[in-house]
Amino acid sequence: MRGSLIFTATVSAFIALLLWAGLGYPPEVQILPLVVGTPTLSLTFVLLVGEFHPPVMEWLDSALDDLWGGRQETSAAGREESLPSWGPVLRMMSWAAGFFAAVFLFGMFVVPPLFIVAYLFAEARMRLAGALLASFVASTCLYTGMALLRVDLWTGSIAEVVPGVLGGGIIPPL
Amino acid sequence: MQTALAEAALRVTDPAAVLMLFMGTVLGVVFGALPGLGTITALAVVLPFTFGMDPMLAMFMYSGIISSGTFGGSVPAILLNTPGTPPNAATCLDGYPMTRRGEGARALAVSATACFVGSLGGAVILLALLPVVKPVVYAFGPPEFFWLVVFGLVTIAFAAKGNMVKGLVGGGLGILLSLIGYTEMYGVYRYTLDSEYLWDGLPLVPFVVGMLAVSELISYSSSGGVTASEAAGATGRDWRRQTLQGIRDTLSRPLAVGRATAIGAGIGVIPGVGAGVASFLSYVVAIQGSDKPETFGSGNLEGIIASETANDAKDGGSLLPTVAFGIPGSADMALLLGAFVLHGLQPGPLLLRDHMDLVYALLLGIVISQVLTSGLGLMAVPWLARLSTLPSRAIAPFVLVLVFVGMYMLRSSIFDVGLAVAAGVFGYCMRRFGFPLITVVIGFILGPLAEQAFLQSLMISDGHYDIFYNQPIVVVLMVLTLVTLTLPVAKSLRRKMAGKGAGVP
Repeated sequence: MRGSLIFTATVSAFIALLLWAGLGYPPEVQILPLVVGTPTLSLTFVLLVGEFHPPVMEWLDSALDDLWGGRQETSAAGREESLPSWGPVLRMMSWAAGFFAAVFLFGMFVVPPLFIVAYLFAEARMRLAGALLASFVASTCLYTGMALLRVDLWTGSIAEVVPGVLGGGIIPPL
Repeated sequence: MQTALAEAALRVTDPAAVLMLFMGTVLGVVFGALPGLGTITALAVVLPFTFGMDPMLAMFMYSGIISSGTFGGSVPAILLNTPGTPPNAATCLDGYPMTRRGEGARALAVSATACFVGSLGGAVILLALLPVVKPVVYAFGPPEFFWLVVFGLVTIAFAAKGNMVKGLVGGGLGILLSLIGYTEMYGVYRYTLDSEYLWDGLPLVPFVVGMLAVSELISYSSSGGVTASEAAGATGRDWRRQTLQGIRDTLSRPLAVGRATAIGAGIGVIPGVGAGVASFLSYVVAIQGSDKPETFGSGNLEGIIASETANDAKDGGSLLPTVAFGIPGSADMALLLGAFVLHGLQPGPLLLRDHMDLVYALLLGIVISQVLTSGLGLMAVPWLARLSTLPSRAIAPFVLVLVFVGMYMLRSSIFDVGLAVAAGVFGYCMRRFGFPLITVVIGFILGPLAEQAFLQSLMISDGHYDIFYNQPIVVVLMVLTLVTLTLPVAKSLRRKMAGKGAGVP
């Protein structure tokens, strides 16, 4: 099954859900979900039809662009670039999600320097010494800035998530 | 009035004033450039430090921050497709494609020059309008505001060009997502799924930064290579030549600059509209006035001029209702209002009568700070542009750390960071399957403003819809919106008919 079909179907279902949920609100608060949601949902159905009959979509896009002052060939810069395969994309998404999970659990004091080293070493193929130096310089700037701005950084929630293992022993049981 | 101006001008030459201006400028640029922070955070941070300060010196610091944040925000918007502040999102549309073409320095120079001219124009307009501003401010109520925002929403149709159906779906989705949260006027929790986090809705900055910055980061890191991967333009990779070219580009388009300045300052005068509307509206008008509207969105420097000039001219305009009536023209002006009160000053007619020197100090500060910002910015452009030639995988972790810390600092909420990551993943999928992200962002920024103005208007009119078409300014704005929407169609039909008449197939 094509990725674009799955994605368009998911977006359609999501918009339909928002529209349906919107019907349960008081009339004044319903107006915008209905006014915006109905045509948006209709357009996603057009997209779904286009997934099965691509010429329909091409014709429609072309006709709308012609009507709207001429075809634009270069508006979506991203369409011109060759798309990477899903492998590297999922790896990058995992780095971002993993970084967030690590920050959530262990806080912003520990994780960012380690993340920079790990990423530069594993993904950017930098030497370990170079990665350590880059991380040190970046972290020094970051923490100095935070200290100057008196920002209380997130300290992690591992103590709450796994009580009694890390940090949980600080407060004696009553 | 002239004595007050002379007094303020004299104080600007004071070394302490210069230091404050410089500090404010640096802070403004840094906070503007960090995604998620911006002018409001910078003002909030310095406010307590200025408490015991001479009010005049404090004004210089505030004006430095207010004036320089816009250029700061345009730097990541142009180089990384990451708007430093939400209004800079319009700059991404043409700035980033220029960077990809290898013309990052030219785009940055256009931005720096446009910011300077916009700021100067905004200050001049403020001075000119000071005696006559009252009727302008009071003429704009919720129905006028509604049509103004709808005019801004028209940008969606222009940004969707080339991929119309998906672009419009994106715009609709952006508006629908912006409806999540508690509706203050009717006391209803909409789409909150019983989550306390969603009571305030999806926060604007983490959502926009996630959609644009994190998705871009995923895109370029997984592709490898460098940002400026395409062939360099006419000026090649000679960054200094590009910088000079960018200055010439801006100064040789007085009409585009003047138009954007007028729009920015005009929108700024209307309380509560904000820089987002100013930059997108100016962008739409620039497309309408261009000979090559089809090149917008693919690296047309007039797009950068339109958004950045309007963004900066807005500062002068929004200062007007703030000092003249104590009505903040924008969110950062609301903080400035707090600063006035902190220093024992009451904004309004009394301020203009008794402390006009402080108003002039703010104005002069904005202009001088912009000279500093643009001057230093132009000097730094050749070095900043080199960022676009660094291997994308080497800069990715730093950008991600910056985004994480910036998002967290905003409200001290770790869930904002999570939202930025989730929006980034979703944004990448949209980008991959051909949905223009910018339409989602425009819908998300302007959608709630439109709904709020719409509901307020209905409340005022007791539920009668004629409030949307029975007043002169409303009619003018409505006609402008309709003309903007139908003009391209009419032009296209006329061209087709002329083609048919000439026998062109």
